[in-house]
Formats: sequence, structure tokens, C-alpha cells
Amino acid sequence: MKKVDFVVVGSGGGGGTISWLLAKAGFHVVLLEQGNDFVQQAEAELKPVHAADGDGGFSPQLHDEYRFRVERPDPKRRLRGAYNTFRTDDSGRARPLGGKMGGFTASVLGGGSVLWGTWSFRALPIDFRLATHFRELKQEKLLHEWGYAVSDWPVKHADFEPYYNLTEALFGTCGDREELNNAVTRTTWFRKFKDCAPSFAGAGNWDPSFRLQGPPYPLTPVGYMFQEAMNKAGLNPAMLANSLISPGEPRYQTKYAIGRALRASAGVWPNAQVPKFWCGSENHLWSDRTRDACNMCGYCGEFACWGRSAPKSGTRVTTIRELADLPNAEIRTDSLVYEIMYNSRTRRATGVRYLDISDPDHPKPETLYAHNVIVSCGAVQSARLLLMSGPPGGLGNRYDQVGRNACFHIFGMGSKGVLRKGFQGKVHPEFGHTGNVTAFDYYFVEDTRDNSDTKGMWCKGGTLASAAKKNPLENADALAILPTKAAEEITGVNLLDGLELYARSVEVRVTGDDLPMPSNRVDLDPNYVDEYGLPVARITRQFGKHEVWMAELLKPRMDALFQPYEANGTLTGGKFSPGLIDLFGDHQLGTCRMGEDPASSVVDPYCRVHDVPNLFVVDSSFMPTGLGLNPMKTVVANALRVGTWIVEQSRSSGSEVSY
Amino acid sequence: MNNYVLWDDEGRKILGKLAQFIMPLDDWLKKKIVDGYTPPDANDPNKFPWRHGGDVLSVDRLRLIDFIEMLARESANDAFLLHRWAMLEDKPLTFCPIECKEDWREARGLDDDVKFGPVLADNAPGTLVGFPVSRSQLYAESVPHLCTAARARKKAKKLDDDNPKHWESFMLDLFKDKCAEWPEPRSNPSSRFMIQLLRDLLYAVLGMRNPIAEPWRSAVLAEIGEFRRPGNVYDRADIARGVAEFKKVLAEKIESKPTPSEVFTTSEVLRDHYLNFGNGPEQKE
Repeated sequence: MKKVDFVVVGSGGGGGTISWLLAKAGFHVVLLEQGNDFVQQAEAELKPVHAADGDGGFSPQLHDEYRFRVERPDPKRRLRGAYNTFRTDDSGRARPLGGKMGGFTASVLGGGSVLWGTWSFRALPIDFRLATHFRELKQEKLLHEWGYAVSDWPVKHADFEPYYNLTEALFGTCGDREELNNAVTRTTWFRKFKDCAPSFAGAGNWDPSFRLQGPPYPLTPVGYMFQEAMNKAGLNPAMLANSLISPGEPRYQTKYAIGRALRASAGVWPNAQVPKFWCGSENHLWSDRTRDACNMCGYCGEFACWGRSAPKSGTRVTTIRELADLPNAEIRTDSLVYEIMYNSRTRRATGVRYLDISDPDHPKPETLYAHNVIVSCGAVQSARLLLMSGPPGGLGNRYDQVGRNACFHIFGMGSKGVLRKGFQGKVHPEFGHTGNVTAFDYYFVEDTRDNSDTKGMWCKGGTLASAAKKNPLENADALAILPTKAAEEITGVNLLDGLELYARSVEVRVTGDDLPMPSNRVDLDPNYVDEYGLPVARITRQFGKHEVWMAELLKPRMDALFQPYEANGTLTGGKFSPGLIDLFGDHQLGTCRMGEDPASSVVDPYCRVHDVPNLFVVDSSFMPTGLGLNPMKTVVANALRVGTWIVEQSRSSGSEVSY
Repeated sequence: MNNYVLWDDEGRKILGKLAQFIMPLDDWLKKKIVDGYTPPDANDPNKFPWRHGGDVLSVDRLRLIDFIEMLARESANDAFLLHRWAMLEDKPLTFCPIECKEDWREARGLDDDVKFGPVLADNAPGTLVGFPVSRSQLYAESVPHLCTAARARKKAKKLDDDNPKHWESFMLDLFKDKCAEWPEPRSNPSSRFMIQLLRDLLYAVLGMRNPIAEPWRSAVLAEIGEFRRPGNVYDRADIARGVAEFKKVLAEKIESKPTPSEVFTTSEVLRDHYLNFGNGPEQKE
């Protein structure tokens, strides 16, 4: 029976990163991805259409908004026949979850890191110490009464710092470090906490110095408007950091960026010890491959990046590309893993069973034996896979923790408005990617309302960002179901007039933290199955009092951003929305939380399942609390951290790995 | 484009006429020229021929019905997928790879009542969630109904080709399932077909796949001030210019504050659609 060293299930920010690191360290690695190489397939299929243009294979046909945003089944978001179910509490029966995302991040080679919008934040030091922080604010008890299980991370922010540097090098993250640091340290909450919360300032490095890989993305019209609005409201706006090759910059050489990151990290490695893997020269770590700067074509975000040589960063164009060069690594797409095999006597995972669905009508069962298994399928599907594996209660689930504390971010919270007619054609949402200007001022919000029971307390909010409206067809398509209710208003000249509105819509939104509640969880749906007869994930989730509180506090603040423009007639109808459940999918976190105590967590500080020492979970499900910002950078940094630890711990160089 | 015709002349003619009333491009343009948005380069007859006495901006000129016919042909395979899923609704565990699957399910406390639900989860081809149908099937079944209904109205002198009010009323009745002449209103209501037709018309004018030549392919996009096109490349100076223009408009003094109805035409429904999160796409971070 042939065994590989590591089988990695899932190729997004976690799996795509750690598979490269382990293979580069000499292990035999097989990376399994349930989706196909969507980008490659689309390019191969559509390239002939464009060949006559002689443009080096850069195909405008790839800009088919219907195909990539509207069509169902959505070939890149979730497999055909795949879905989750949803309910708001554990008393009811769950129903299949609809909506554009349906609880999936992505199902393609590269996972969510192919489809993401590149918003690149480091977690703030306080995110690692949230329970301590709320205790010092004397709010821990209240949160507990509200049903939350806020927990400190069992690792320190400092443990992540060198890996954040390396992630920014791998992903070519651009931005202005000093401006971003100032956007945090000049906030009201920062200044107050520094004085009143004893452990706040020491939670980690609030002023990282590693220079980002290029100047920030240029300010767009929508960004300008909200930068001005934020300044008027007394906030501290900064240009978003993005993981793409900064526009106008020379070809990006990842290898040299890794070298810079290693030199910058010399003083920040945990225990002041450079790990073995990172000791050598960058020449041994990365090829000479280079990447072009972003040409700001405006089709990224939910689209894959079709820019030449992939300026938008993700694992598919970075670590997976390097992985494909290694003789001791193999990438298998269309591989739907449905079981982690487990030996109850040795208490070790022994490999995986999966379906080869390259012909989805005729799935072929396959078995792959491995010394170690690494799971990285996204927080919903990773929990599902653990629960479908091992003993009837699921793998690593002795204390009924797998799937609990699921967090999804209050992703749709924000305000929209429509500018007056004079702005038609002046908003230019087509310039580049979605976000542009950000602010940290609402990462914590103090309740100052006189009539409030929570007056003087601090609510955990999130990052604020301006967002351009980029997809006119998808918006119009959503409008198409309206005529059955109001046919006179949504047809004829009214319909065509309405199309103009989208081109002058503007939006600002918050990526709001969703604090962990054990009752918000993922388990196996007792009734519903997917195309291959496997139980689908059932998501039980409701907004708790903290989320409602956050919406109450943020509404007047969002209104204040719009107010100057509404008062002078520039903008009409700024409307606040507290988030929508059908936006489940992006930013799923916390179902296999990291901790020291097996009774209250699933994985240990190195993301190893407590009861199964050769099984790891490295996607965003490891996070004990959910951050108030895009988690991708933290997922990639954590995968580098865990992979480095595995290499350090391994006592042999290629076969059995011991810990 | 039209190497295999799905609809006969009557079907195409009625579809085209209906599309003209759903999307009266020329009427809209005439209104715009009087008091609406004028795109940059609108004075250039090569870029905006429809504004300079060239061909009229219309459903026919944009060959929208040909485009929809192409889409219908492309989606023929969806019918096979839906057939497979109908089978799985009956026998959901057909392809389950787990040995002793019933025992496995029982041990995990899962129910005997097994269901297959991608249709309700909006992960299936269909006009609306919960109504799985391929585009090709829908048109194949509905266009004959449309012809039947139109013939019946014409016979009753309620659908004169030269009477716009007749056609407007026909279109609205079809959207609202109030067309008495539509056969099979229960199993295949006219609204389902009309929603698909509207979606496909929007795809034709806002998407980038209609194979007609430019500038016609992007005519509607150009007229609404959307500049995103396949192959666009910008540099920092382009964006700085865009910001400078935006700032200029932002700094303009407004003599009288526009009312919501001036901004949003007259429709509350439309206003809510554009202002509520979730009615439009929220792009990824």
C-alpha cells in the first residue's frame, strides 16, 4: 500500500499554501481540489474565439458577466448539485440555502483566493486577545449572558508577524504601511484603550514596519467621495491594501520579495530563531517566475483575474504554480473528498476516500493513503468532512465542538445611495477592483446613547470600505423578477432609465465581526443530500444581541457619512441595511476553533485536531474569533506558520512524520 | 449567427414585437437626447451612429432575438442535467459511494426521509428559484403558447400590429399572468416565460457576447455611461483624470435639490431595488 506523506484537501489560501511549503521541504504531497481548474478551462475553451486578435491569448470573451456572475449552476462558486441548508435556530427544520453564494466560498483550483477581491488586512493584535480585552472592559460577563463564547487565541499576534511579512511578499500586497498604521492608531478607540485597558498596547505590534510591495491602488472617484466623507466625519481613511501587483509597477519578482520579507523578519521570528525551512536563500524557495502589474481592467472581484500573467494574487497563481513544478507534488482537481479514513486503534488518519468527478455523470471512487491529512475546505465544508468521517459522532468531535462557533461576518452591512443625474458617466466603477478607501474607526464603537442599557460599553465592529458597483448586468438581472409585481414600472422606458441608476450608485460598507456563539454551528443535515448522496452541511445561525447592537450603533454613523451629500442633493436615499443571510459564503470562520483545551476547541495551537495527531485543519475554521476584516491574509500566514512547524517537528526527511 | 433557427417567422415576429415594448430603445433614446445623459463622444457619428441619423437603435438592429435564439440553442444540455436531477429527487442515494449507506446514515442519526434539494438552493437552471427548466425547454414550450395567445387576441381585434396600446397591454398581461388567451396558465404561466425573456434581453444589451459588431454591441452600455469593456487597460493618469472630473461635478453648486422622483424616475419599486443591499450584487472583498 503506497502512502504519500501529506494529502491536502482544498486548494484555497490555507491548502494551496501549505501544500507548496511541505512539498518544497521535500515531502511527497498530493493536493486534492473538488473543483476544476476553472480559469485554465475557461481560457482553453475561449482562447480560440480570440485567437484571431493576436493578443497573446488574452481573451475578452472571458469577460462574460452572465457566465461568471448570473448563470446557474454557477460553475466556479459551487459544484453542480452542491448546496447547504439553513435555519435560524435548532428547533426548526433547515431548508436549502439559496442566494448567490449559498454558503460556498469557491469550488475551483485556488479556492476563494481566486475569486476574492484582494482586500488585504493583517488581523489587529487585539483580535488575538478579545476575551481578555472584554474582561478588562468589564464586558465579558454580558457577552457570556448573551450567549457568546469569545475566546483568546492560543497563539500570539507576534507568532504571526514573520508570516504576515511573507504572505505580503507571496501575494505582492500593495499599499501604504504608514498610512494604514496611522488609520488604526489614530482612532478614538485605540487612544482610549491604550489608556484604560492594561494589556491592550502589549497585545502585539501595532506599528509593523515591513514595507508593502508597491504603492497603493490609485484613488478612484468612489474612493475619493468616501475619503472626503470620512474626513468630514472625523475618521481616519486610508487606501486599502490589496493583494495584486501594484498598477504601473515593473514585473513583480516574488523571489526577491521573499528575500526582503526574510530580511525584515530577522528580528521577529518567535523565540528569535529562524526556522530551518526559511534559513536558506530565496533562490531555493522560489523560481524566477514574474508577474505583470494590474492593468485595472475592472473585471476582478467575483470574476477570476484575466489580466496577463495574473496580477491578482491567490494561491493558483503563486504557490500552486510553484507546486506544479515540483516532482514530489501532485495536483488532482475534480476530486471530491467525502471521508478522512481513520484507524481507531492508532487514533491516526490514514488517508482519504474521494470521488473523481472529472466526468460528473460517472463519479469514480478513489482511495489515497497518506501519513498525514490536512483539511482546508472552508469552514463549512471542513466541518462537514470531519463529521462525515471517523466514528459516528465525527472525527475530532469527542466534545461536540466540531462545527460550533461558526461565524460569517456581517458582510452586507452598509449604505447605498444614488448620485444625482449630473454624475452619469462620472463615477467610473470600471476602474480596477471593488474596494478603494478604508477606515478602522468603527472597529470598536462606544455606545454613547443616553437611554441605552449598554451606555459606555464598546461594541466590536469592523473595517469600513468604499465599494464600486461593477456589475450592471447582474444588478439588472435581479431586477427582472420585479415586473410580475409592478409591470408598468419596470418595463418600457422606465426599465431603460433604471439601467442608468446603477452607473451612479455608490456604496460604503462594513465587514462586521460576527462574535462566536456555540449555538451557531454547522452539522450534517439529517435529510438533504448532494448529487452524490452525501449529507449536505446544515448551517444554524442567528444574529445575537451583539450583532443587533452593532447595527444600531453603526446606522447613525453610516448616515452621517452620507448626510452632507444628501443635504446638498448630490446623493439621494442613502439607505442602511444590517446585512443579509443570503450573503453567507464569503468569510466563513470558526467551526474548528483553535485552543489548548479539547473540551472547548477542535484543534491545538498548530491546527492539529486534538484527538488525531496527524490531522490538521488550516482554513479559516481555526479562528477562535472572526476578526472584523477580510481573513485571507491571516489564513495564508497561518498556513505558512503551521507548515513551518510541521517541517521543524519532522524528525525524518520524507516518510513518516512524527510530532 | 443564425445557422439553426428555432422559431418560425410568426414566433420571431411576435417575440420581436414584444421585445420592442419591453425595451423601447428608440423612444428611450429620443427622450435622452432631449433631457438625458449625453455620453462622451456622442458627437462622433462613427461611435454613436444611432444619434446621427444612421440606423435606429432598436431590437431589430441589435439582433436581440437572434441572440436569444443562440442562447436557447446553447442551453440544450441543461435539459439532460435537469432530467438527472429529477431522477435524484426520486432516488437521492443513487450515486452515494458509502458502503452500507443506510446503516451509516442511521449511525449518524440521519433521517430515512432523504431529499435532494439543489433546485430550492438556486443552484439549478431555471427562470425562478424552485422552477427548474432549461432555457431551451422554456422557449420551446412557451413560444407556441405566445403565438396561440397572440392569434387569439388578433382574432378578437385586441392586438392590432399598428396599435401600441394593444401590444403594451398584451405585454403587461403576460407579465402579470392575466392573459386569458395563454394556454396552460397553471403548468406554464406566462410570467415565467416573460421573466426569462426580459433577463435574456438584458443579457443581450448589457452583456458583452452579442456577436454583432461594435459600436452596436455596446450601444446601451455607452448610453448609460458604463465604460467597462473587455480588454480595457488603464493607467494611473487615466484614473486621476476620472477623479478630477468627478470632483468637478461634486463641487458644482446645485440650484435646486432634486427630488427623489427626479433621481429615481417615478418608481418606488425601482428605488428600493437600487438602494437595498442584496437586490444587486455585493462584490467580493
